Parts: sequence; C-alpha cells; structure tokens
Amino acid sequence: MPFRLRKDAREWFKGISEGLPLDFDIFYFCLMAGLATGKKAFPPANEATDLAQDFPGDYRSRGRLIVALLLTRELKRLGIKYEERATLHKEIAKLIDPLSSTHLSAPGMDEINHYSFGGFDVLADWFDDRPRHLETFLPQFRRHLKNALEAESGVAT
Amino acid sequence: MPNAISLAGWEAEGLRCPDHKVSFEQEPERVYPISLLQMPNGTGKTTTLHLLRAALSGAGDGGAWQASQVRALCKRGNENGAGAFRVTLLVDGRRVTICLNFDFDQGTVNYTTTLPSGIKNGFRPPPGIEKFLLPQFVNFYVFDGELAEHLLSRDYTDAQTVIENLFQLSLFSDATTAIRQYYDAQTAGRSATEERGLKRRLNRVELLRARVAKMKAEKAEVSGKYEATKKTLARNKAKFEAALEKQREHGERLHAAQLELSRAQSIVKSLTEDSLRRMRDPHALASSLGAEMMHLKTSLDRVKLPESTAREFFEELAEEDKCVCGRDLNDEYRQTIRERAKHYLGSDDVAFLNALKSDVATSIGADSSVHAKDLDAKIDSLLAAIRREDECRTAYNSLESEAVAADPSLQEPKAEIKRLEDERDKLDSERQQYDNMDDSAGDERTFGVRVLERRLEDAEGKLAEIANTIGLRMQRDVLVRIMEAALQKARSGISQEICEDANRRIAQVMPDNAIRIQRVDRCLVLEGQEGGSAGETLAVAYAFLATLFNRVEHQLPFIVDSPANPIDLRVRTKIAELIPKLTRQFVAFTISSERQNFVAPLEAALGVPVQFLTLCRRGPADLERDAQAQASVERTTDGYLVSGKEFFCGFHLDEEESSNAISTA
Repeated sequence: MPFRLRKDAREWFKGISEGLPLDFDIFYFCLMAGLATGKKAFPPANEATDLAQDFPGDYRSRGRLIVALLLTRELKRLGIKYEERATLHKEIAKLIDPLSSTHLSAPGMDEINHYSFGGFDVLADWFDDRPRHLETFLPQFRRHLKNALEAESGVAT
Repeated sequence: MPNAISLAGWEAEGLRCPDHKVSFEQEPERVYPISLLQMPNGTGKTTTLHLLRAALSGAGDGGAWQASQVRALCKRGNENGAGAFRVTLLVDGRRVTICLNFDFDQGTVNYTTTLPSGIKNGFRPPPGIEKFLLPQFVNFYVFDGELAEHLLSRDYTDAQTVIENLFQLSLFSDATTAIRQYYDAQTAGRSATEERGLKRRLNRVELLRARVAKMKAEKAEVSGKYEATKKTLARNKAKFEAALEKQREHGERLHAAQLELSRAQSIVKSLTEDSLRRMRDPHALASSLGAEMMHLKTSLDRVKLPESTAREFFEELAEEDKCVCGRDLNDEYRQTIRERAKHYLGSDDVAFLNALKSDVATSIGADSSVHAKDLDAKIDSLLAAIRREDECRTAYNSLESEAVAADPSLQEPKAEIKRLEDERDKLDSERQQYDNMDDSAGDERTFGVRVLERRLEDAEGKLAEIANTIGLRMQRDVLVRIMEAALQKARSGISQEICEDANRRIAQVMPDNAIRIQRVDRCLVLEGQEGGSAGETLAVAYAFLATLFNRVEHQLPFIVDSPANPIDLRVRTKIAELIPKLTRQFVAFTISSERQNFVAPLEAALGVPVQFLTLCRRGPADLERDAQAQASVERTTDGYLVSGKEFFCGFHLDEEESSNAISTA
C-alpha cells in the first residue's frame, strides 16, 4: 500500500514545486501539519494519487522517526497509557508491519495517509494564498507548526 | 429432448388394492399399443388410479399429504405398517422408476426416483420430461369421466390449461416476467425515472460541458498570453540592462549592484536548501516533537516493550515435553502457553521496535531541543539572507531609477517593462483562477477546470442513469407488448386449429350427431348447446385429446378409467375405432360391462394384439379355480393377475358382483 497525496495538495504546491526535489516533501509538509493538529481527512479515492511505496531520499533514514511520531500521536489520540500494556501492545501491532518497506501495516498506512490528507486542509487555513516562494514558505510553515503545537500543549516549543 | 414416454408398468404392495405387479411390455423396452386392465368393482381401481397420478405428478412428495390421507391407503390387516407403489416409465427407452414408500405408522410417504444415473431421494424426474409430470398435466393423460365433464364445463379451465401446458404457452408469460424482473433489477435504487428529470439532467450536462470547454479555452488563451508576455519581458529586460550598463555614469555601479544582488540570491537559495534538509527531521521542526518521540522510547523501555523474549519462543516451548524450568508440560499447560504467547510480539516486531528506539535515541539524543535550536538558527540565517536580498534589490532598483532619470531614452523601455510586469502578474492571477479547487460557487461562477470537470463527470453519471432507465423502460414495454400479442395469437391460432381437427374426429366417431366444438374459451364451448350426454361428452373429450396428443412432438401414454362405460353401444364402436389413433400407448381400466361392442372393434381397428389383463381379489373358490387354470397367472397374497383374452372375456358380471361382495364384506 503506497503513500498517497491529495490532487489539490499537489496543485497548491505548484508554485514552489521546482524547489522541492521530492514529491514526498509535499506529503511530509501535509503530514506534519496533520499530526501537529490531530486533523485527519477522508477524501474520495479518486481525489488522491499514489505517491511512493517507501520512504524516498532523505526520508529513508528518517522513516522510523516518522513512524515513531505517528505512534505517539495515535496513542495520544486514543488515550492509551504506556502502562496499559495489553492495549499498547495491540495498537502498536496493528499499526506496524516490520516486513513492509514503509514499516507500516495496511491500517497504519491508512492512518498516515489520513493525517496527510487532513494536514492539507490545515495548510490551506494557515496560508491566505498558495505559496509562491520556497524561501518564504519554509519559515512560515515552521512558525505555524510551532504555534499549533504550542496551542495544543500550552507551552513554547 | 425426449420424444417418447411409455408406461412400462407398476407394482403395489401393502395398499388398499391387491398386491400386484403389472407390466405393459410386449418385449423389453417395447410396450403394447393397447392394454386393457379389467378390475372388477372393489378391486381398488380408484386407489390404483390415485396412486398412479400421485407417482407421475409427485403430488405427495415433500410431506404434501396429511397422515390421515396416507393411512387411508393402507391395506386392511397390513401388519408391517409399510407399503410401496412403484411406477416404471420408459423415457426414450431408458427406465425411470418413481417409487412411493409408505410408512403407515408415521403416516408419511417418501419418494425415490431411480434414473439410469442412480437412485435419488424425492420426486426427481429427468429435466426433459418434467413439464409432463406436473399435477395439472398428468390428469390429461391419466383420464376419467370426471375430467371429460370438466373439459366442457365453464366452471373449469382444463381445456385452456391443457393447450397452454402442452404447447408451452407459459413460456411467453415466463419471458414477460423475466423482462420485468430484469428491468426492476437494473433500475432498483434509482432516484428519478421521469422525462422531466431527464431534461433537467441533460440541461445540466450541456451547461457544464460548455462551461468546461469555455474555461479550458480561456485558460489556454491566458496561459499563452502569459508565456508570451514573460518572453517579451525577458527580452526587453535584457536589452534594457545592456543599455543601462553602457551608461557611463551608472554602468559600473549598476554592474556591482547586480553582482551583489546575485550573490544575495545565491545565499538565499543555499540557505533555503539547507533549511529544507533540516526540516525533513521531524524532531527539528519543534522541540516538543523530539521530546514526544523520546518519551515514546523511554516509556517503552520502562514497560519493557519489546519484551526480551519473542512470541516464537513460547510457541516453540509449547511443543516441548518439559518446560525450561524442568517441569513436565501437559496439554493444559501447553494451551495456556500458546494463549499467553499471543501477548508477546513476534521476533520481527521486536527487532523493528528496537531499531525504532535506537533511531530515536541516536537521532534525538539526550537534549531533544538542540535540533529545533539548530533549525531556528538556519531559519534566522535564511530570514536575514532574504532581508539582505531585499536590500540588494532595493539598492539596485534605486540605482536603476537614477540611471533612467539621467537618460530619457531609457524611460520608455523602463515604463514598458513595468507595464509588461503588471501584465504578466495580471495574467498569472487570471491563469491561476482556472486551477482554483474551490467547490463552493455555482457553475457559472466557478472557474476551476478540475472542479467543473468533476461536476461534469458526476452530472454525466446521473444523466446516464436516468437515460438508461427510460431507454430500458421503453424496451421493456415493447417486449412485453410483443409477448402478450404473441401469446394471444398463439392461443387463438392453436385453439382454432385444434377445434377444426377435433371436429373432424367427432364427425368420424358420431357421423349422425351434429355436436361440434365452436371454440376453446377456458373450456370447450360447443356450438349451439351447453353440454351433451355422458357419451357425447366422452366422445368430444377423446376427440379433443386425440387431436392434442397427435399434434405435439412428445408421445405420451393415455391411461383411461372406463373408456366405454357411459357410451351407448353404437358410439362405443366408433370410440373403439378412434382409440388406436389417440396415442402410441393406451392403457384402460375396464369392467366387464364395457366389453360389448368395444373389445372386438378395438382389436379390429388396431390390427395387432391387444394386451388383456384381469386383476381380482382372492376369495371365491370358483374364481380362484378358474384363474389357476389359466396359462398365465400371477398369484399374490390377496389377489390374482391373469393375462389373456380368454379369462378377460369370460369374466362375468356375477363374478364381478361376487368379488365386490367379498371385498366389501
């Protein structure tokens, strides 16, 4: 099962896509916005396209970190405490598949894609207009992300 | 498809009629064309006919009969509580035996069907003859005076039914039903089926098609203008910059400012790439994210996940005779170990979680905030570089303005560049509205081509749905009308031909009688009269059925109860002459009083031997003596079956009455 990208997200990033050597960068920005805000979306299948079957380029070495972040966010969303060993065990086993190139099971892939789909809606809220310059997009994205995490936790990040 | 069905015989045991076995086979797999089975009153003729119809129609299969109906068929004094009635048919020469097995204690009857392929439980006739072995059809070839009356009675639809069954006119109704079911299945769940809905959906599709085409054309035009403006702008800028550099006073300064701007742009580009690379570390985006991942790692360590032992260890342990502690393992322990093994991760999961924890520890380290701080620094550098780039651009623009002011010949090209830049930005904005994914406005106010295309796809789907529905309904109506017209035409044409043919036979049988069939309208409607005598009714019925059975490709046996009893002596002869033409096999249940003016003309008309059988109950000594004296007699526990014309014709009424008296005693 591949990572999937919303068609409108690809369109939205068109103005800075020349500066983004990996299509997965677009998926990643959407994913981080979705994970930071806990927003998921479930668009119809024909409104997204397959992107990659594994973590490409620089993301290859960061794949397990991204999976770790997905796990923390899902465990938090489900209110699972680490002491609840059986539940914790069950949820982790549900989301991961060590033999998969993405390290994620089919339900795990569904979850990560839903966060990325939802994250694009978050980006559209954060930015008044589509980004036209990567150099200004990156600082703005980071600022919005930190603000969202601060709003969630109540402390500066 | 079978062409010939013959009745090879039947066998009865433990039933109200005497135990007996009759065979109508003249030689193996070839039956007598005419068999007369004489059964005096009280011998169980009605019971035998009833069983014969039940065997041929499956009427008692599947628990259709009540226990009292079953027990009514039990022989008086039957001690073993069982009975059987077996009918053997020859279907294109192959034997098919249908057996009714009675359990009188339980009050049940079970069918078995023996085919060349083996025995099957239940009434399971071969597919090719199923339609002739239905209750409503069997009555036409296992025939009695009652049915003859029904054929001419307006209270019954038997005549119409037999035509429709024999000529399979129900296929038209079946086809109509199938057409309606297909339509219903295809249109199930569809919301709109009316023409008004069709018009509305058609309009929407046309509007959207036009809108998509218009927006695409506009987008192509605007994009074309945008690219052309960009090229013109680039050309003009190059000329303008070349002209600027030629200026003695500002040339060198402008050149230096241009180099400075390029350097600043290059630094921005480099720092952007650097920041992007760092931002690919999720823990660098925010220190809290790094902290969360570290928390995951330390928490898993705390709860000892993954375990040091993998699930496979316990699964393998459950296969051993002894535990690692040395205790013996029994099945109960093994089951417990297997159940609890499910609470442990597999070795692959364990390896992955350990690698994940290792990555988190290595990548994030003891202080999770250093990565965010590093990215902060990079972003700060980038923002500073962007500011520097803006300053360089401002300085360059200022110098450029000075140069233009000092040289009037540059003012017009500069103004043109400004105009082209404005034009380019305007076209770029216009161009982007066609990529807008906003789906909230109405069709006429939506410019996004993909949004409109998606709406068009949806509208075309809905249009196709309703268009298909209407098209299908029209096709359904046409087909149903064809089926109904075909049924009427077939029914009318067949009935007319049958009537004409049957009337010719009636004229042969009763040349001095003017009785004729006018039409088939539910029953046989006679010309100018409501009904006839018993003899006329039977003659008309024979003529009608003979006509029917001669017109179909299937040959069926014709089994008749008392074929001549109600007919006057003169007509009997004509009926006897007609019978050989009725069908290939004629089996009749007779009594002695029917022989006169019937047997002799029947034999004469047939021209080949007739089979004569007499079945009577045991009892009167003189009757038993006469029967025993015959060359061909089969004796059972309670009856005799005598073959031969001599005994058949010598069996007298007084004997019949005597037999009757015995049986009812």
